[in-house]
Amino acid sequence: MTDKKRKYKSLIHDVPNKVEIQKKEHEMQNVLTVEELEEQLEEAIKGKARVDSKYVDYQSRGHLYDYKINYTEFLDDMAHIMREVKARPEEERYKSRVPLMIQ
Amino acid sequence: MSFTLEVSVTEKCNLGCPYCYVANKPTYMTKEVFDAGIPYLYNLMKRSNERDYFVSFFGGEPLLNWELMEHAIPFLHNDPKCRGFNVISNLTMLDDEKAEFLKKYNCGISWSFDGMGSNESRPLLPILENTNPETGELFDGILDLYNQKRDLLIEMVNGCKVMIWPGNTTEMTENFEFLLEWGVEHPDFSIVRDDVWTQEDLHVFHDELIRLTDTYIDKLKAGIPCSVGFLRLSILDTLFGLTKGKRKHGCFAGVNGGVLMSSGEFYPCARFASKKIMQMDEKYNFEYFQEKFAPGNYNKCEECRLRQVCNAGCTYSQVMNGNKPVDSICEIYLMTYEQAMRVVHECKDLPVFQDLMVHWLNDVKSENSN
Repeated sequence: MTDKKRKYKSLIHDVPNKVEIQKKEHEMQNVLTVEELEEQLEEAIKGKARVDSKYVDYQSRGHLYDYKINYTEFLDDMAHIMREVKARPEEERYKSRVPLMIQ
Repeated sequence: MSFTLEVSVTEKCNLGCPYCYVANKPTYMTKEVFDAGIPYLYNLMKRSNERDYFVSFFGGEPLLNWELMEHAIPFLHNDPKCRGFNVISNLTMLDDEKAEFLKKYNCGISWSFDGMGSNESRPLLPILENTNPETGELFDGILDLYNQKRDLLIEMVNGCKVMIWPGNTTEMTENFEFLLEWGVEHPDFSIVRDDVWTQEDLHVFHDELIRLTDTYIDKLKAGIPCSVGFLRLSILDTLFGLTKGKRKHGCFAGVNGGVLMSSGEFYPCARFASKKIMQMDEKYNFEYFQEKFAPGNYNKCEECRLRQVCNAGCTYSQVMNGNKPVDSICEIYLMTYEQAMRVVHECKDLPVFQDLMVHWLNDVKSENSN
């Protein structure tokens, strides 16, 4: 595949640019805190949130598998996780090197 | 919410990926086109009731039009209406100078990297940008090229975008482990949400998904902080869906976002642009998209168990499917949500998973409020 004598051509064409630079910080907005989430989980477990039992209890039909979708268990698990996290000092929690890019 | 603008700075790419829907054409956005697009962006924001915007540089390979990015990024950085920006790139042309520039302006990076099968799925085209500067020869595949700048890549990225389609489902588990060895702790495995999955493909995906989830749980039990994109997204969507209400729309395309092509035309996304349909001109109707593609309005979803949490997939695919979700994708979503809930249940006592959950919440903007 490699041809040592071949002269490769660049795709990049020359576009001059002129810019003015000022510093500005971009901040994430509307981040859900652990405390807010815990409160909402409590509401969800008590049935005040938008969990509709019609769908929670729905028995699957016409699908390839009988999927286990248990929202009640999920909410209990999440509430447990939030309690455990709150019990640990924040500085001991995991921090990734750079923010995740979730698209 | 913010208006999401993709800026397709070029349709040219230095790779020849067989699954890519963008025509590999030598179109390059000029700075005049970019500048002229900003007032129209403000017009689109007003019409879709958005006050600010977020930009993703897109291609082709955006780093092939670096001059445009050098022109555009400082403007975006200074524009009070711009909430942030990132670049979706294969990063083959990333160097120290570009890295410094991107870091200086706090530009996010979404790395398009397929992992272990990249030499086959992402073949290098025989051009100057793909040659080893030390030898003047083409790199021996894209993994060879990445190896030359591995430290820089790992420093700059924390994840990469890996498209999952019927051709690579059997490698998901091995690829996840490969990427972990590369230092990519949070690969964003994303499912191709087109009507390309046969029933046999779905059975294979189901079995492979369980194998991947088993491996993921084992990594967490070993104390390794990591995640698999579509499982992470399913967990977060379930959490937000049950506590705050699900996202109003699955995707920004045409609802509160679009793409600016190098021609200066706006479309809902690059896929619509590739077919030149639904151009976002003065006649374009946001209300139509916002109503027609609201996941809560689909009759098809009425009795689905995921109705509370699922956002119904890709808008373009739904347009191609008579304005409704694609059956095979619904099935895949049921599989992934089931496994996502299994991860939460089996890992709820692991400190590493507990911390990851909070970390995700801090990183994700909760835009799905009612």
